[in-house]
Amino acid sequence: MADPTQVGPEVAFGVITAIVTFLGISILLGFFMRKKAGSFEEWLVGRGDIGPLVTGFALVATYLSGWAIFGNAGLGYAYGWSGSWLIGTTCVMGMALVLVIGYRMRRYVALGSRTVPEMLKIRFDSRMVQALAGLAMIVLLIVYSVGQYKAMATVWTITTNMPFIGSLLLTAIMVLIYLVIGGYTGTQWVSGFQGILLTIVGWTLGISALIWAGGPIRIAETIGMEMFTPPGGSPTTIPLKDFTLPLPPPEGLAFPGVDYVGVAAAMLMFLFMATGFPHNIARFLGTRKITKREYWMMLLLLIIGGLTPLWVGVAGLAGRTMWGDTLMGLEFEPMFGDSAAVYASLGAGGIPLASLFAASVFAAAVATLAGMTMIMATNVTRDLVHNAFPKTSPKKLLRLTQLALIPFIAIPLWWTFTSPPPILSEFMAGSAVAQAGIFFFVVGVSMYWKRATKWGATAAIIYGLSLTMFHPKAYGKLIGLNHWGYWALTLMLGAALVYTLVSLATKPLSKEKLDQLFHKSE
Amino acid sequence: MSKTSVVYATIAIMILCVILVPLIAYLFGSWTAYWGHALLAIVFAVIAVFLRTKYYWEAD
Repeated sequence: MADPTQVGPEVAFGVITAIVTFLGISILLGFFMRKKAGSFEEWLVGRGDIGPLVTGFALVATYLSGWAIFGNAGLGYAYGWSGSWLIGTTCVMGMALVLVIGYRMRRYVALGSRTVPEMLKIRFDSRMVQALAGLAMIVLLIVYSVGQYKAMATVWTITTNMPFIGSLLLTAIMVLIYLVIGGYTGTQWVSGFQGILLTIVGWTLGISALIWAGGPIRIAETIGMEMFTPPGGSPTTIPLKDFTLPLPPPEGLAFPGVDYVGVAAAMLMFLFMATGFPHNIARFLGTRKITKREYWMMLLLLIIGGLTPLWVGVAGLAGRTMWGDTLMGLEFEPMFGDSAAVYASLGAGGIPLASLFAASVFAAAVATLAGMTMIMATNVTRDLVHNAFPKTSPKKLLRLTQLALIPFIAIPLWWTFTSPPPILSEFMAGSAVAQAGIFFFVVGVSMYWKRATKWGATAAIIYGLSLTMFHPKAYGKLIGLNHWGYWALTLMLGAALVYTLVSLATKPLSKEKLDQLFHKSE
Repeated sequence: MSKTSVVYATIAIMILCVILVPLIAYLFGSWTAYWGHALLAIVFAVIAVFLRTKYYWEAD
C-alpha cells in the first residue's frame, strides 16, 4: 500500500491561504449584514426576509458539521460498508422532514421568539420548559463540540505537521477570534455561503477520490477483501464486505452497524435528527413567506446538499482501497481513520483540493463550534439567567454572555485534549440520538399537536437527558446496556412515548391561548 | 381518487421506502445499496414535499 503521510510545507501554505480567504469572506458577509440589520436580534434572524436559496443552503451548512464533511470518510475507511449507517445514506429523508415541519417556526417569530427555547416558552406558556430546553441544549452541544474540535485539529495536524495538542489549542484560538470579530455565522447569509462551499467541495472530493482509487468496481472489490482493524489494534478476521459488522461483544455492540437492531436505530436517528437539532430548525426563524414553487426549489437544494455526506463517505472507502488499514495503526493516534479524509483529498486532488477541503472543514467545524458556543452562552443568559431574573439589564446580560463563552470553549477543548474519540462520527452520534429523541417531539411535533403539554415536553427532556448518560460507552455498560441500537431505540421511542402519554394525562393550554398558536382549520 | 386515498397511498410508499433500505443492504450490498439508499431517501423526500404542498399547504 502507498504511504499517505508525505506532506510538505507547500500543503500548509495552501491550507492556510484557503482558510484565511474563507475567514475573510465570512467576516465581510457578517459585517455587511450586521450593518444592514437595525438590531442584534435582527442580525440573528434577519427581518424575516430570507429567501429559499439562502435558507436552503443555510440548512445544509448547519446540518453538515465536522461529522458529515470530515468524519464520514473515517467511517467509510474504518468500517467499510457498515459505516454507511452513520454516514447517513438516508439523511435526505430527515432533511425533507425538517423542510416540511420547520416552516411553522415562522409563526413563533411573529409572536416574539428569536431562539428555539424561546419558541418553546411561547408554545407552552412556560418558562420552565424554556430553561430546561436551554439546559438540555448546553449538555448535548458540549458533546457535539468535542467532535468539531477533533475534526479541525486533525486537519491542522496533518497539513502543517503541528502536534495534535498544538492544533487543538489553535482551533480554540480560531474559534475565539471568529467569535470576537463577529463572524460566528449568526446570519443566514454566512451560513448560506458555507453551505454552498461544503456542497461543492464534498461532491468534488468524493468524485475525485472515486476516480483516484480506480473506480467503483475496484473499490467494491477491495473493500470486499478487507478485514476490520480496531484503532491502534491488530487486524481481525471480521470482513468489511457486508452492511453489518459483527464486532465481538461487549465493546463491539456499541457500534451502530453491528446488527440490524443498530441499523434500525441509526435510520430512526437520521429520520428525526435534522428536525431535532435545535441549531438546524432555527434556520426557519428568519425565513420569509415562500411559495410552493420555492418549496420545491428548497427541496432540490437539500437533496444536492444532503448527498454531500455520501460523497465524503466515498472518499473514506477510496482511502481504504489505496492504503488498506495503515491509518488504523498506533502511529496515527489519536486521529486514526479520521485522517483518511485529509489524505484522500491530497491524493485525489493535490494541494488545491486539500486546501479547499481544509477550508470546508474549517467552515463546518470552527464555524459550527463558534455558533454552538454562542448558542450555549445565550442559553445561559437568555434562557436561564434572564428567565430567573427578568429585571437583569441588557448590558449585564451581554457581559455575562461574553464571560460564558470561555467555559464553553474550554470544556469541550479539555475533553478532546484528555480523551479524543477514536472515530469522531461514532462519538457524535451519541449526542445526535439524544437531540433527535428529545427535540423532534418537543419542538417539531409540538408545533402541530395541540394536545402537547408543558408536562409532556418536560418529561421527554428529562427522560432523554437521563437516558443519554446510559450510552453504552458511558454508564450504560454499568447496567449491562452495551448495545447501541437498544440504547438509541429506548431513548428515542421512550421519549416519544413519555411525551405522548404525559401530554395526554395533563391539561393542555387554554383554548384562547391555543387559538393564538394554531389556525382554526388545524 | 379522494384526498384521503391519495394521502394514505403516498404515506404507504414512504413507509415502503424506509423498509426497503435495510432489505436492499441485506440482499444486494455494495454500491447498489449505498446509492440505492440515497435514491429511496429522495423518493421519500419528494413525496413528503408533495403532500405538504398539495394537501397541507399553509398560507400565512
